[in-house]
Amino acid sequence: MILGCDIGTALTKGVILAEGEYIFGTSVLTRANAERAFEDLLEAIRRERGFKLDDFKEVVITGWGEGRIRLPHRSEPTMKCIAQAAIWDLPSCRFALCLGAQQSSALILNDRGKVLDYRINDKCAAGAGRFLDIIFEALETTPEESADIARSADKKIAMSSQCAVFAESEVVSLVNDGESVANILEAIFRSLVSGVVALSKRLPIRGEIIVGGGLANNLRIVELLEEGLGKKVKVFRLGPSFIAAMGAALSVNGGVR
Amino acid sequence: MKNNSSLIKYDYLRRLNVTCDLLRVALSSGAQTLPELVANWPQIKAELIKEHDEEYVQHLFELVFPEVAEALLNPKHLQPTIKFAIALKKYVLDLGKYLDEGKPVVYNWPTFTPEVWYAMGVVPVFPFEAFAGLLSGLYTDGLEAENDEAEKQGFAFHICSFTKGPIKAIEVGKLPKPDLIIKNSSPCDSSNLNYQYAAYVNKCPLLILDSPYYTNQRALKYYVQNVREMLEEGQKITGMKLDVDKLRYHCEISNRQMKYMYGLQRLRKEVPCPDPGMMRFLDFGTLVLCGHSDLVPAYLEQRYKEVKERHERGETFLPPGKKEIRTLWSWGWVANMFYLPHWLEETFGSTYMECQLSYLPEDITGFVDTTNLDTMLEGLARRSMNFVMHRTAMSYSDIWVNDFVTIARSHKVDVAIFGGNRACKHAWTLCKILSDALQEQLGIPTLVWEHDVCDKRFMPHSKIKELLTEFFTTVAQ
Amino acid sequence: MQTASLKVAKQASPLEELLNLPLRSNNPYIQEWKAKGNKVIGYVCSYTPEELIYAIPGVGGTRIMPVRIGGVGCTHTEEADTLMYRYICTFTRSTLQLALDGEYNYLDGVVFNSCCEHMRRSYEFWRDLVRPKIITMVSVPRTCHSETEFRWYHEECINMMEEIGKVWGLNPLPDQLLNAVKTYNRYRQLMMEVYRLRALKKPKLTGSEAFKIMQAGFNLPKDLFNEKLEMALEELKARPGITDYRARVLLAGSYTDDPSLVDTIESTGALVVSDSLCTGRKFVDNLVDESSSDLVEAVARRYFSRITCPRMMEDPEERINFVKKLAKEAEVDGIIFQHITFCDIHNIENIIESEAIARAGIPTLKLEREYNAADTGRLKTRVQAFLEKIGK
Repeated sequence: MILGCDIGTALTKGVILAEGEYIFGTSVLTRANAERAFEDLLEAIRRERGFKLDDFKEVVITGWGEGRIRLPHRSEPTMKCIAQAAIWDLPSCRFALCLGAQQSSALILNDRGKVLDYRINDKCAAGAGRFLDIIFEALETTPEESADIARSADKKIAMSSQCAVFAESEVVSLVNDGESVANILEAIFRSLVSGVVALSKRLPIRGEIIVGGGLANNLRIVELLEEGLGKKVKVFRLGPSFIAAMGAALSVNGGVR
Repeated sequence: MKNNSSLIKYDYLRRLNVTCDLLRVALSSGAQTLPELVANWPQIKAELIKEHDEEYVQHLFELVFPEVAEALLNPKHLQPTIKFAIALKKYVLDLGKYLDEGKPVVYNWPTFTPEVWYAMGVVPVFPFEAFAGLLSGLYTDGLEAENDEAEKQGFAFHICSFTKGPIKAIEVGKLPKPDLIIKNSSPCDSSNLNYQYAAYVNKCPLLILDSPYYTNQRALKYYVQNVREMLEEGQKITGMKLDVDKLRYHCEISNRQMKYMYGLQRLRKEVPCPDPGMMRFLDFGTLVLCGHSDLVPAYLEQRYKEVKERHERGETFLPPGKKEIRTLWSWGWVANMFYLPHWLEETFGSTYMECQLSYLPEDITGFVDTTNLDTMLEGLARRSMNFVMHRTAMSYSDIWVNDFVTIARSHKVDVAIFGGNRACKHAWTLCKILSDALQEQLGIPTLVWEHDVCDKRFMPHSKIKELLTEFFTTVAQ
Repeated sequence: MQTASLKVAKQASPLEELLNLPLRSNNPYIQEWKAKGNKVIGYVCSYTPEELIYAIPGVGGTRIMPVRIGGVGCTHTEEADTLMYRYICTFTRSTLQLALDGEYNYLDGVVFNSCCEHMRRSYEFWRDLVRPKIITMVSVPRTCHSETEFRWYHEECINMMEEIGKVWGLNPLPDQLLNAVKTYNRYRQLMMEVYRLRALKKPKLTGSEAFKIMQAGFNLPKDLFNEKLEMALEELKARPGITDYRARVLLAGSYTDDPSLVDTIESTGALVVSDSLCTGRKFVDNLVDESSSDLVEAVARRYFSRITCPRMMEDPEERINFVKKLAKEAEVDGIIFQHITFCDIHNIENIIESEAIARAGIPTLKLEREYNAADTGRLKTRVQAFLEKIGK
């Protein structure tokens, strides 16, 4: 069995493959401590499936926290992992997006899952999951509810989509002005997706698109993404958060194909 | 040295002065590794305190980036850096003497080279941008304090730190107040307004060399006229007169510099690239000191000699077994991470092709014809119009894009990194055009990332290494 | 100049018309203008010598009308963001976005200037992606006190006329040039009258209204605009004047044509009684010398040597004195220096000017904003706090 692990800034994800087949996946909170998160992940796997560390022939780690893990392991760059998982999920995929807690990335790949080029947006907080967490808290809603709430928006509010700091204070003003949570959420989502679309269009978009990363759990965001790109988008089948972890696992034996 | 000497009074100048000797003595100590350098430090210090204050020297040594020290000790950098330090030291002593004689304090934007000023008997102060680059590249304290001062006053975080910090340094007494400032109107609003602010606040004249928006004969003629008028005004303001023979003397020196610069550029085309990338920043330093003394071409001659010999022996400075990844730096060097090219060479075999802070198109610029004043001014003007950070900025983005796509082809580039200074807005507008062209025409991927050229806090070195590691282990394989 | 007959509400007074003129191709006058075979050339910066465009005759009695390209009404800048990245001012991104969205398809040509770092690089995208029939650059030197610099600019102006003219084989005769010059001088004089009415103790119009008139001026043939403005001025003079305002402010800084910014400021009760903007007072400052025997040169001279935009690396003292003069004229209580995020020119110029003006005892506020700012709440709060601070 192979354990692929993606230690992100928000969540630490693990995916288990046996004979190249997907067996199981789970995640734990990272809470700024990669070593402890990795331990928590192993513990969760043991609790839920009874697998121990020794059961894994290989442990492949990617993501922000990879460098902090002292246990001997293989490491794999995140972009490669995303591409590998994308092509495994959809052989016709030539474009992948990963919308994470702190970073959004877009990449183009060839038919063998090799990354040809990629662009990242890691310097703008308004495009990342962390920013949304803050907004959800301010609006007293949860990620799970937010998609439905946003869909019920009845007015288009223009957001100052340029800066997270400005956007946050704008939300406060809008709430004070009596604007509905639905309208505000929809506006925030549109603003965020606008940044992702701008990032994506810096590369040529050909073929099918796969999206991964925690933000893609929000179906309203995915809908808006499709609208913005003018193309259908497939959410990574194991759950978007698991895309890089799966890719890490797939990378053993030279990856897919 | 007397305590009221300019080289003591003004901290930037003091630091520059000590830096020259620190580099020279430390690199000549026989140490080959960082631990050896640290072991040799007592002897090095003993040498340095013959001229400089002990506490100051000790403090400065402790501020040096260990990675930079380690990199400079590497044989591929060692001898040229010593020669650079020697050339810079002569300039610094000339500057100190000049200022102590109470002569006019002149700051000269580097894209018009300083031969004309030397020919007037003026020693311009080391440019703001050169200070920013050097101080943020060598020392861990950088210019953070001055940058923060400027931002407190209202200068946006994205105003270019090449200039923003040093002009504050004047206000806090770390640099002498200007009597005259000269600026090209290119490359950018950020530098232009910084210079206007400096002139206004220090109540001194600001002479503008207007960078024409085109690159044709009309533009050259116009620019030469600008140069003449600038010189006329400059001589009036400083009370110093331009001596044509002195100009010829300094132009002949800079012509020799250009000969080696062009030679190095040609050698960079070879496979494997025999020219170590970290020296690119020091090469820029020689452009800032263009024509100052014979010691400047001596540095470049050393550089050229080593690079040529390496090429002729078919050798590489890359670690054994490292496959060369020929890398186009499609923006430019990151001043605050001086050792970055070296880290890339050692870690990924990534060799430094060209960047817009290095590249001087030889066939277009040539050499200055030293026949008479007219030919010299025209030659200097022509060089300036095609200078680093000028040619690519003063006109349409087509120039930068075409220059770099052509270089990518001729130099057999594998990948590109557009590490863009966040302040450099005109560069950002062509980032997509350029990276698209490289991908579409040559299949070359580009890593696009942001930094602040002279402030390491915005994009810390560890993060830069992460980003580059991801890139070089992904697309560059 | 023919008087256009309007299909829209005929009972609207000239003032009402000017205050409610639709934008861009929704402007019925532009629609009518084009329907009659006349042409429209857009420009981006106040260093474009408009009258030289307006002077170019067409065939069949047609003309060419210059319009200033703005970004009002732009709600997103996605494509522009993709192309230009995020360190570019939102005005530049908005205008490019509108062009990419086809909002400027009614233009027959565009004139760019090398005005500022952001706008000048927009040129390449207009040239390659928007692809107007004519696109030309009038590059402007960064200093304006030398004859060498003036000659360059003068040549650029002549070149602009030639670039536009040569596409259709059109060149102005001397009397056509003179008519255009006279029309534009008249335009400036009338606009100065608007400034006078704004500066009264009981201003005849709000800053917001003044901005709308300014916008109308950018988007109507000047002869027609002059006619309407003359009548509108009579209507304004007949008003009793505004007395219930809290404070008188002057607006300075980055390019502003979005009335929404002025609206936000005036929603606090303040009145924007003057401005030193390149779309406002600086735009109409200084007349062309009609008596000159070389009118093209006279026009270039006027544009080149009037009060400078801080892109001109001249002594800021002149610009500071200009603001002081305006502040005194309009008896302002304070000056708001705004700059669009990433506008380096006004970020730093505002520091220079506001510090000098504060030393002269006039209260100042520095504001950073986006163009087409949506975060009006934040801006309003800042202005309110400023007014409270100065005891208004």
